Order: sequence, then structure tokens, then C-alpha cells
Amino acid sequence: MKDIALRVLHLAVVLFGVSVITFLLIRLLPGDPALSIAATTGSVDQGTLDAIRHRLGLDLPLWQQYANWIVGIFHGDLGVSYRTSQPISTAILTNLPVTVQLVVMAQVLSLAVAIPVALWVAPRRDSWLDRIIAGITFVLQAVPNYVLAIFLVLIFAVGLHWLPAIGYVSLTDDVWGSIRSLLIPTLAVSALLIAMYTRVLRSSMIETLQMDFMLVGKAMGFSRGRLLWGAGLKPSLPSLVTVVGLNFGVLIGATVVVEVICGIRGLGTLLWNAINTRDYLLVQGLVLVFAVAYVLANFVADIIHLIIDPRVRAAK
Amino acid sequence: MSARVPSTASIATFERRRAHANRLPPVVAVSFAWMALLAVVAVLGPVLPIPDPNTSDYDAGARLAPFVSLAHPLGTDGVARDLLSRLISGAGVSLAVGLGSVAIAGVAGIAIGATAGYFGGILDRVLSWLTDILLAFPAIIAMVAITAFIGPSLGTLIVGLGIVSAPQVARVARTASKGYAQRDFIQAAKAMGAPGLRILWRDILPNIMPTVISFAVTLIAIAIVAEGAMSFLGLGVPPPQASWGSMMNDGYGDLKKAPFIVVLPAVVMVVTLLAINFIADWVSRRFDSRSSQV
Repeated sequence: MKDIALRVLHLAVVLFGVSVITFLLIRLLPGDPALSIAATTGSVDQGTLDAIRHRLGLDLPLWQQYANWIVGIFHGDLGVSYRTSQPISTAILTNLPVTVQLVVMAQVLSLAVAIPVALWVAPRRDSWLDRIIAGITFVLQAVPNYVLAIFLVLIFAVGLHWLPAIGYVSLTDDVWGSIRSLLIPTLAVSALLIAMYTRVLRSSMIETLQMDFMLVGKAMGFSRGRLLWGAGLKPSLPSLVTVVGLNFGVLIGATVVVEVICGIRGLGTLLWNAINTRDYLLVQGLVLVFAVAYVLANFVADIIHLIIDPRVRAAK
Repeated sequence: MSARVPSTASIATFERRRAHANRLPPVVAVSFAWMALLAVVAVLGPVLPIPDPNTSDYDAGARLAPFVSLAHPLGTDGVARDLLSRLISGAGVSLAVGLGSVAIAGVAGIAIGATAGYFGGILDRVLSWLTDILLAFPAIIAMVAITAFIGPSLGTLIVGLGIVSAPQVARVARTASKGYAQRDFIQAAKAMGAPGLRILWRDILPNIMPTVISFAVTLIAIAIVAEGAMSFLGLGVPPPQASWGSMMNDGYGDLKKAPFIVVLPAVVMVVTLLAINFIADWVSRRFDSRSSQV
């Protein structure tokens, strides 16, 4: 319990820090933020400037601006876009499901490939099979997701016409069509994850295989499959769980580029459009959402690690 | 049983094994050669007898790779700019961003991490929290945000990626120096009254360098990937300056007609990343004693 309390405290500190940095982002704008924002609306007169200053609360002391901003966020209010006059939370919520689906599909696919492969090669350490898999993961780690996305589009969409190059079909309209429409981006962002997960699980599985209880299991005549999946997998999982949590960050970054390449209207595309239209408040809102999502994913991974690994609890 | 005297044969075996361990594996040698080649052509680019990377050459009748001609050995892109020249010019950007950002991240990260790890206590707590807060922003998101607010440029890429990578170096440096802070020779130096900063500089730093450097080499590859992503999104170096990422973006519209425009920079980039990863792998096996056991 004490461990969980400590992690919650840590979570609170990090979330506070993240919110302060995101809040201060607008201040990175050279000069007067109101002037920069007014410039994007096309009318730079004193009246507009004052209105923007007032609406952003720029005439208040900094800490009070932050307080107002954060209170608004807890009410789901991230402000209103100056470009589209649409509430920022609405824009984010409309684009959210696609990105969530992409991230979930990528994690599921990566684990579905990496776990069996790692369990397959771990008992055959240093065999030719192990070496081939090691070679493949080494190469996969060197191919950036956007390069892979382009090649997949080139092969499966342009060349073979098997998959759509761009566009997204909603999950509620057509489940299979929806999965198909996200297949290229999913494969593109999963390659790196598959490589990393396979490597991590393989090496912790090799450690587990040297444990006494595995030998006992073998002596008791358990089949190889039961030994690996039944006894060996669970104690090997904690390091994988941590890496899965950390890779949410990689995945979030990857979705931005891959969504743009594949013409999918998710949060990544929204961020890209926001920058190109200088929609600063939308950029700020999205950065906050991405960072908070990443922090929470890591927090959950930490807690799961704590639950499934009695060794961490015993060590404290 | 008397003490065993090693026979000459086993000494020879030992010597041979040591020589084997010291020899550069061929794939690593090739990787170093590739990186050296990139560095040389990138530096010499402006004086090499190749067309200007940013000038369109419609006259030569040269258009779209893989149309190969004497004037354009790898063909040209969609607006008739020489692809070889642009690849070389882009290599300069990749290397500058990779090395520049990792240099910044290295200095800042080692300073923060080693201080936190060695001194411990409240200083460690505060610095670690700061590191964790910065690490909460996924790299590409942080870069996109920085670029959105201060504008795209080579400087933004180098400094931005430096800031984004610094906390990662800090974390590695902290863990490494924490391990050394407890060791006997550090305790002895302390007992003899050596000042903390001196111990940090003379005793901790040299010992954590192998670990930090082998991590930093991987970071170069990560920075080059990030630079490519930013340039692909049009948030990297402003046009017409070539970058492997922007070249892929330029060619993406012509993917059906001339896939080579995209494939060339993509292949060059992947080869470079493989080379860096081979070097990183070798560095960590060779110099970082902790990772050589596995």
C-alpha cells in the first residue's frame, strides 16, 4: 500500500510539472502572445488585442492565469480555438477514437507477435533460429516508422491494391473495414515495438529458465509448452510491462507522423494541422492530452508491475 | 596437487582470444567506414563537382529518378533537383542534428545525472522529479510543440532534441554514478577529505563515461530518426535545404510515378541507422563492462 501511495504522490508531482510546462508553452511565442494570436485572426487592432488579453487572462498575475487555466481543465474546458471558434475539447474528442484505436491495435499486435516469438526462441538460446530472430529485430529497430509506412503504402496500396492507402473507416460502421483501414499505420508503428518486446521478453525468459522452479517443473515431467506458458511467462513479464508502458510515448510520437502519411484524421493529424494554422491553444491542449496520457500509461504499468511481481514488494 | 602452471599452449589460446576480442568485427568496421564517408562528403559537399542541391535543372532534360544521366548520376526529384547532391546535403543535416543534439544532451544530462546520483538526498529527489517531468513529454510531441512556438530551423532541431534527450542521459548517468558512490575507492577519497566536486570530476565521471557513451551512440540514431520525422512533417529545416526526411516528403506525391525519389533517401537513412546501431552495439559490448555479461 505504501508503494502505491508513493507512486500516486510521484504521479501528482509529475502531472503538476507537466501542466506548468504546458501552460508556459504559450510564453515561448516571441514577444506578446496576444499579438501573435491576433495576427492569426487577421485583425490586429487595439480592441482585438485587449479582447484576447482579457479572454486569455493575460492581464492577470501569472499564478492566477495558471489557476484559472487549470480549474478550467478540470471542468473539461481547454479554451476555444481562435481559428475555428470550436471548443478545443470538442476538437480533441472527435479525433480521439481513431488514435486510441490505432494505439490499441498496435500494442495488441506487437504483444501478440512478440510473446510467442520470445517464448519460442528463449529455450533455444544461440541456436540459428535465435540468431535469425535477433537479426530481424536488429533490422526492425533501425527502420523508422515513417519509412516503413511509406514502403507499406508503396507495396500494399500502390503496388498490390490490397489495402487502402489513405482514409479511415469508423469502427461503428464496419468493424473489419475499420481494422483494414488502420492496418498499414498499425504495422508501421508496431515493427519497432515488436522488436523491443521480443528482445526484452527473450532475455528475461532466459533468466527465468535458469531458476530452480523451472528445473523442478521439468523434473515433474511438465511439457515444454506448459513450462513456458504456465510457469515461465508470469515471472518474466514485469520487465515487459515496464517497457510496454514506456513505449506508449514512442507510439504517441509515431502516430503523429504515420497518421499524416496515411491521411487518418486522428490526434496526430489534428496536431499537425494546428501547427500549420498556428492554432496555438489547440497545440497546447493536444500537448497536454498527449503528455497526461503517457504519464497515466506509465503509472498503470508501474502499478501492474507492483501487482504481478512480488519481488518488488519484498525488496522494499 | 601443485599450483597449475599454464602451459605455453594455453597462453597462446589466451593471447589469441584477447586479440580476437580487440579486433574490430567486419560489420563494425564497415559501419565506421560508412559514417566516415557520410561525414567526408557532407563536409566537402559544397566543393564536390556535383550540381547545386537546391537548383532545378530542367534544361538537361533530366527528370525524375531513376532516370540516370551523366549530369545526374541518381536522377532528379520532382522539381529537377539533383538527388545525389540532395542526399549529400541531407547527410550534413542528419549528422549535425545527431551529433549536435547528443553533445548538448550529453553535457547537460551528465551534469544533472551525475550530481543527482553522487550527492543523493534532497538534491537527487528534486533533480529526479525534474527529469521525470521532462520525460513525460513524448519526444516527437515535445519537438513539435517547441517548433510550433519558436519556429522551425536547424538550431531548433539541434537545441530542441538536445533538451528532449538530456533527461534520458541524466537518468542513465544518475543510475551509473549511484552505483559508484557506494564503492570503496570513492568512500576512501571521501575519508581522505577530497571535496565532493573533485570526486565527481576525477573519480565518478571517468567511470560512468563508458556507460553514458554507449547510450549516447544510440541517442544519435534516435535523434536522426526524429529529425527525419520533423522534416517529413515540414517542421524541420526550412526549404529548400534538403534533409532525408524532407526528401521523402517531397517525393511522396510522386510515389506512383517515381518511387525512387522516396526510396533513395529512405534506404540511405536505414543504412545509416543500421551502421550507428552496429557501432552502438559494439561500443557497449567492448567498453561497458556491465552489458558485456549478457
